[in-house]
Amino acid sequence: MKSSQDDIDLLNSYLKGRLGSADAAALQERLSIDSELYADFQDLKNIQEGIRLSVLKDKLEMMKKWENEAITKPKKNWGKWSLFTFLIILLGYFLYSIALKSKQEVPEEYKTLYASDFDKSLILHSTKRSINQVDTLSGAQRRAYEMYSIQLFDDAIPLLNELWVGQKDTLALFYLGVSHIGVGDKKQGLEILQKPELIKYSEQTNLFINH
Amino acid sequence: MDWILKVKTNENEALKEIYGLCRQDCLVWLQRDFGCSEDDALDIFQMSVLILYDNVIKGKLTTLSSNIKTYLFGIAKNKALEYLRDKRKNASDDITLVVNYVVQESQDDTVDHQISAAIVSLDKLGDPCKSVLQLYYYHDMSMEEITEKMGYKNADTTKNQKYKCLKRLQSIYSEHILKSTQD
Repeated sequence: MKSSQDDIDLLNSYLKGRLGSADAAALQERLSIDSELYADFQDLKNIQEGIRLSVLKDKLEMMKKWENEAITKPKKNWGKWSLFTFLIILLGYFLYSIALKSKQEVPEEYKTLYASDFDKSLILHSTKRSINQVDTLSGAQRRAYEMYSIQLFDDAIPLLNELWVGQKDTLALFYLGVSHIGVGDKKQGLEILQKPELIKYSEQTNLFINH
Repeated sequence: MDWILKVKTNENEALKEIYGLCRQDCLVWLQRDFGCSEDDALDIFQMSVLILYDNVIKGKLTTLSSNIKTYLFGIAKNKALEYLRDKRKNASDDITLVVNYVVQESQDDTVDHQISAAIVSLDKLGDPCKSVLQLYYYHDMSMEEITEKMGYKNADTTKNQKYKCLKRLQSIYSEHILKSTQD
């Protein structure tokens, strides 16, 4: 810009529409004969429009930022909720594991009985399956008793219960009581073992009742 | 609510409120009634908010005869019709987008190019000069108001600063124009 500061101020006033008609006419006259002033006028006009649009561009960038925030925000929330859900699941798993563990664990006072004397004292049936000898166990009894024999009490309990309810199998009832204690349900196990139907197994039930 | 007063006194907050108030309905409307793509509808909506803001600051809009949403949708409708008429988009950047949408259609390509050069030059100039020039030329603030806003010593300092900034801007601008004509 080669014009003086006063001329620039004059051009600014003209572009802002603040010159009186006489001053405006005088400036127009000068612009028509002074090529340097005219060049500055043209530059100033473009710069002024550029300034206007640069403000609008800044506002546009601001709006785009809002859009990005709107897009990223749910993700942030999603991340937060994912973490929360994950922690809840983890907590649930731990609580379940603890509950399962405490339930499945043989009570302390019976641990030796289940570990060392189970086969000798608590398996009362015999299985004989060969060409010459067969036992009298039904298929349902065999499945239930075998589960019990290998101490898979969770699997054995429904099968043994079926045998007791459906067939009044007292051995199944005895095994059911032992199985309940084996999964940590001492109360129900002892209730079963004290049933009068199990009087014939009193030697074995006393191992629990009089422990 | 007096939206015009709010835009004048607390522009960013007012724009954010208007943006949030109208965005969803306007985008759906532009896509449904004008067949705009989602991206084009967003461009048109954002340009409409800019034009509303520009009209308030430049004093073209002093009172609202309808509510703000109706006014904004009116701008968006015109911009959508322009979009349908000549598909003036394909803007690769914000500067082209703003120039395409906001500059009067009578302007020729050379002028568009010079105005784009001025925008780029202003970005290169940076603050505080950019802010001083924006406050003086766009917001039409007096030297006293700029002095207060920018924390300068007095109006004479501000006036001097503004003049120096304009000189620097003009120098960057001329250099940019020269370079682009050589390319």
